[in-house]
Amino acid sequence: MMVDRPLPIHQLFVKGIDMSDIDPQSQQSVMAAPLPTPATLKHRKNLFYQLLRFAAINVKMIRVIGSSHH
Amino acid sequence: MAKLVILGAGVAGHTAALHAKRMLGSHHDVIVVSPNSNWNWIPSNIWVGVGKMPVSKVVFPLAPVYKKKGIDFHQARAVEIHPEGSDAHQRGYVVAESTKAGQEGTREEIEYDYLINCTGPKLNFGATEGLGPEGNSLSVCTSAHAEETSKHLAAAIERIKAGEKMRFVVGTGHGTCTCEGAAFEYTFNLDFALREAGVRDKAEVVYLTNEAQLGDFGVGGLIFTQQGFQTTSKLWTESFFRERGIQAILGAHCTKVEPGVVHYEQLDGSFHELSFDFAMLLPPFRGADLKAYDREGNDISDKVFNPAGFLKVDANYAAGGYENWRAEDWPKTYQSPMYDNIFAAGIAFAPPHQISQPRTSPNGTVITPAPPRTGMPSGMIAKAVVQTIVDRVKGVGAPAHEAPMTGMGAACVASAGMSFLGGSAAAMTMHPVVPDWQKYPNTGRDLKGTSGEIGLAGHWMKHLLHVLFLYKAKARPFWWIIPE
Repeated sequence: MMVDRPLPIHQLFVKGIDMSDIDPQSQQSVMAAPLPTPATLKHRKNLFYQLLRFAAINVKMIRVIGSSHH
Repeated sequence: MAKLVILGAGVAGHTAALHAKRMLGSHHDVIVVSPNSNWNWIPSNIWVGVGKMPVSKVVFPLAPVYKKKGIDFHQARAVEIHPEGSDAHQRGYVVAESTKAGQEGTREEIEYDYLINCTGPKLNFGATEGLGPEGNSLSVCTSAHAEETSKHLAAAIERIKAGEKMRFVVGTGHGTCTCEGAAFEYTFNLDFALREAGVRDKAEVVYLTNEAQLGDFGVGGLIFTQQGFQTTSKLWTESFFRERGIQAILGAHCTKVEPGVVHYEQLDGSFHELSFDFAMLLPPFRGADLKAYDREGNDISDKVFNPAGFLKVDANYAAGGYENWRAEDWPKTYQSPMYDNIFAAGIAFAPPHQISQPRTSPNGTVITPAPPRTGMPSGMIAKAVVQTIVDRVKGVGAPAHEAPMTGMGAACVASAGMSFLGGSAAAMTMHPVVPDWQKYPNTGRDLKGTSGEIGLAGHWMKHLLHVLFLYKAKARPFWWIIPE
């Protein structure tokens, strides 16, 4: 079954590493980062919305390419 | 009749060869010297490495394309440059050793009027003991490496299904690696593959990187606008790591890879080891093993190349410390300061310094990403160099064409899972590639040209680029309309 959600914290350490053993500062920074809301996760996969984003990304890239080719 | 020799047939070399022939026509010779018989769309090696794409979809033979276009192809490895010629050669020439089956090692001397060095990187697995497919870790740098890695991944997934718990370590195998974006992509494609196989909850995924902070990507990170706020690639990437349950070890320099154990030093000077069941660690790059000699046969390699073997061009290599770095340090024309008919494009040119802030551990170990100069910048630089050469061949008295990385943007699509309806990718743009803090004092880059977003559309974009660039590289009709 496809897991399509953030993993519960206890499942990050299935081999039993302690967080303090593996760069605790980085782990704290990551764990403090904001998680996407369920609505954002849905938007990222919604076909209609993503078609619009696809067009928008194309426009952005064309703009960047256009400003780089002299 | 002018003779242009191009060393290498990767993104830069192949782009240069196709454009040069198109612009110069049949009255001039374009010669490509490359040890590889195939062209490889390297960005898609990530998908090969997780078993989502066969190797046949990312490579094709170069010889038929060059034959069709009238480009002379020598399947050989350039080993010497003689820019001043010799008693036997009035022009500069290159010594190349054949890599063709049955002719391995056969040397030939190829004269040139203009030379473009596009030899790309030498994958320097030897920099870290035990690193690489011939050691104790895996790679996706070549299509063959990626294919081997996919087999190891398939076997690992079977073992998890059989009841094992496993730790996957993905990242950079040395403190001076570049291509953190590729390591990022493999990490998230691995996560996606494990989720698809239904075994993600029995696997740890650890990202081990030389970046001092997530989202650095070797370009010093990005600042862009999202929903009315300026945000950083650091926060954005950390959020993605948290969402996918991936752990990060930052500022790490791998010192040794033993079977099942990676040893590393961190920026604070501490030394650690981490056991693994599967490790895909990228190597650092150095320049191709190419020597240069003057007319008398004296070795002048240290004048033509930097210590890492990259060709020196019109950059400022005496900028000094980080506080002195300026956008003007970066090259514009990619012309050798010693020989005005020699150029470099792509990874082969020597950058003036890193883009990310340089960092050293208390033990003196440099742990800083090297500047990326692959993909879009690589192709644009190659095209600008060709335009300069074409002008000179045709007697146009125009100044050299310029393609500074401080003036060009780049689009980067980092795959995070390959599936037409369920995949995703981080689609990023940045302008310029190298931040210009004088021009953009608050952000380093133009906020209008710098962006990032995650979603299924990014995956479609990545797939579209795969299709377009293979079409272009195969020199199909109107290939030249597709921008670099």
